[in-house]
Amino acid sequence: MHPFQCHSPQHELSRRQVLGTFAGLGAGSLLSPLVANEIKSKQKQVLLIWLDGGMSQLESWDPKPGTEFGGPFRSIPTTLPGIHVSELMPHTAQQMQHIAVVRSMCTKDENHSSGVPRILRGDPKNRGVTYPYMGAAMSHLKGKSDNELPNYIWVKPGSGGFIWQHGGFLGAKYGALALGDGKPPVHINRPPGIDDQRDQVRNEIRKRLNKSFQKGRRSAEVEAYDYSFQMAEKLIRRKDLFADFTPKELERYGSHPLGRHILQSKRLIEEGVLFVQCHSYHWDTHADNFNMHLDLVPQIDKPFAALIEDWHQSGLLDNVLVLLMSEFGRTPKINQRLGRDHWPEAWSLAMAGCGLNRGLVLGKTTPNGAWVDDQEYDIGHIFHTVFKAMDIDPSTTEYHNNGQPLPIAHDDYGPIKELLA
Amino acid sequence: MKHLMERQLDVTKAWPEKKFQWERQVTAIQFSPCGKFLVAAGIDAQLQRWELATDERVAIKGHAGWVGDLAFHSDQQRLYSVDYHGGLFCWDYTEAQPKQLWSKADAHQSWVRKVAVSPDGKHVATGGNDRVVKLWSATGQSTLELKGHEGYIFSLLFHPDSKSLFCGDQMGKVKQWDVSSGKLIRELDLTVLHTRLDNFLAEVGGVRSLAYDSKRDLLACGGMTNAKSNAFCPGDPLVVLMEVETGKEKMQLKSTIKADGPVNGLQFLPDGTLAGIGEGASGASLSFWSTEKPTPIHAIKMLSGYEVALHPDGWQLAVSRFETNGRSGNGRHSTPETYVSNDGLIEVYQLYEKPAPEPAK
Repeated sequence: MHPFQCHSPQHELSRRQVLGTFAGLGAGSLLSPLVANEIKSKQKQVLLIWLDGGMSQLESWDPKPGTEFGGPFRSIPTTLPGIHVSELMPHTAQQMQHIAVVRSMCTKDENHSSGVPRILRGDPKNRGVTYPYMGAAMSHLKGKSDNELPNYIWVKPGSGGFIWQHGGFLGAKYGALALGDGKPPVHINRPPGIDDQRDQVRNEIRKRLNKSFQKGRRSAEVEAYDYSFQMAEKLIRRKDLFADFTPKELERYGSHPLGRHILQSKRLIEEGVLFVQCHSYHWDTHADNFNMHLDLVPQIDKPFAALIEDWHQSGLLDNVLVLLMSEFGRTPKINQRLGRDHWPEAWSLAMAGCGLNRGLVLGKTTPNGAWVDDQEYDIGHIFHTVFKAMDIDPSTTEYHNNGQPLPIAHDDYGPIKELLA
Repeated sequence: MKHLMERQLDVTKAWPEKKFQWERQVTAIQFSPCGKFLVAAGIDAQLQRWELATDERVAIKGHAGWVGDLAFHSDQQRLYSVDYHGGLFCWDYTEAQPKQLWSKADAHQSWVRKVAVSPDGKHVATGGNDRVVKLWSATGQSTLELKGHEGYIFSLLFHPDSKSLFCGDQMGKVKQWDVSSGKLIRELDLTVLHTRLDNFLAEVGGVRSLAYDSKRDLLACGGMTNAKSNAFCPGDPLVVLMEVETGKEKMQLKSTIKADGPVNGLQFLPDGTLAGIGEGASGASLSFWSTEKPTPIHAIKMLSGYEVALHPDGWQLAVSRFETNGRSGNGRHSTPETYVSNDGLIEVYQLYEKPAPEPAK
């Protein structure tokens, strides 16, 4: 038995359902496109869009124009009566009927280095282990999906690679396959001089060397390297995933890095990847916050709104959970360089899809936007909610780490009931 | 009286005489041409007017959004101000309670960052995020639109002869426009003040301040260079002296006191000395350059600064700077009851040696 195997009834049921489906249909590879699409369409998935550094809640979801800390931007009405967002989000304002916004996040960490992993791990109680990131947790809890693609892909600026650390105590193989700049792993294209036969021979040699290297070692890292190679191999067969975007797509989502990365993430989800994390850096606006948000927010507003609208129209939003967040918000107080600093006390995030109730704004901040006034939520609530939306019940599902049972989300919290249908 | 006749402008002896404090950071200040008032704008929808003789403060209300800038008319009656909701306002500032004379709520489509009035009083210029510079009559009639800037308009300055206007933008370009014909006279390359590295998500820097010395035909352009990121926006404060006629760079002026933000305010003094103030995360300076060498002849360390303004008497320089109000920085450091905005502090420096106290009689 795999040391990290999940014993949840949901997982077992899911596996049985999938196996039953395969038994009835024959081999997975022989599925008719129609049936394959049907299965694909029913698979629940997650797209986490992460604005690293912290988007200002006052310049986005929770504007307070004309107040002490409100900033220079106006608020605009949305498709939800009485609900306003920043004028920097005109496209998203038109999709608010499909979105749920939580305006009363209150978390504990004000630093990036500890805050990012803390939030992405759901900030569980300290159990003496390193918890997996949300994507790794989902990959483990949902099990391998019925396609040839990795479960957990991270689309990010900069370099790529296999980020085994995301797996936490689940093991390195649950790490993220990172696509640097949204591009496929390097060497995805086999050199033209190597035909199928030679490639097969090369792989046989690689496998034999791996086996030899593994003798007496059996470390999770060695497994992970092999696993990451397998994933890369699978992607090599799927060059179509990385084809150029059409001018129409770029016009709709933006040709800037975040627009392209959301497009790439969309394509991966539509092809069946279980969990995609789409990352954007440089939202940490300690200086010139207002000029920076003037340029930054439109780069998420347009592609986010396009994504929500497109997936609503195609029906995919019924099965895909989109989560837009950062590690915290930004200080109401404006600093000496006209910037805003880190503020975990009261910030906002947005969620949509996967059966969550739509068109909601939950929680409230004080009139000056500085503090939570009503319905305070921790990241633990969000993890519970995401798991529930993904048909994983944190109250009955737990990890087993070398015999140690561990909750999958902070056990002092529960799901946000208003969000669950 | 004797010391007044003997005093000489000497920035190395500058000393702060007065302070005015406001509950918001102050990003724009000007002395009225009559010399009686100091008016400030900042991260708020109000202007504040102080009467220098009495220190009495009066709020000027009417704007809906942050007031980006203000400028006085030479008639010693009118004050113009612009806001981040696109508005241009004209006030009679001389009344006990300043009175709004007229306003254009939609003067621009977006933020109006800057306003300037020509020395002859015929033109009012405005510019902001729609990248258009608009010219108005003093009574608010739209007269010309100057188009061609590729970035937000960050700075405006009329030539002393009132025939042309210098406009500095986000992308590091200064355009000089003929205000009668609307024709572009010349474009100066200040792209050293703009940074956009491959991994940036936004433009950083721009020509944040302008000052002109007509005796030497020198345009001083302030900002910062070598920005390292679009998050903390750290860079090297820089003033570039340009020879306007030739369009050539004369010299780059740097700060000797460590700072990491743009030079936001510039002012030539009557003796040709250039005063400038900039932002800094952990400190900045009010610097004075002779313009003959790249380093200041004198610098006063202070917290982050936003603007300088010269009194019409030529002896007094007002400086607006950041004043912390409780601890800033990441996370909670106070209770909801004590969590308030930082302040703006305006210090008025006398630009000569502080007179010795009168001996006791």
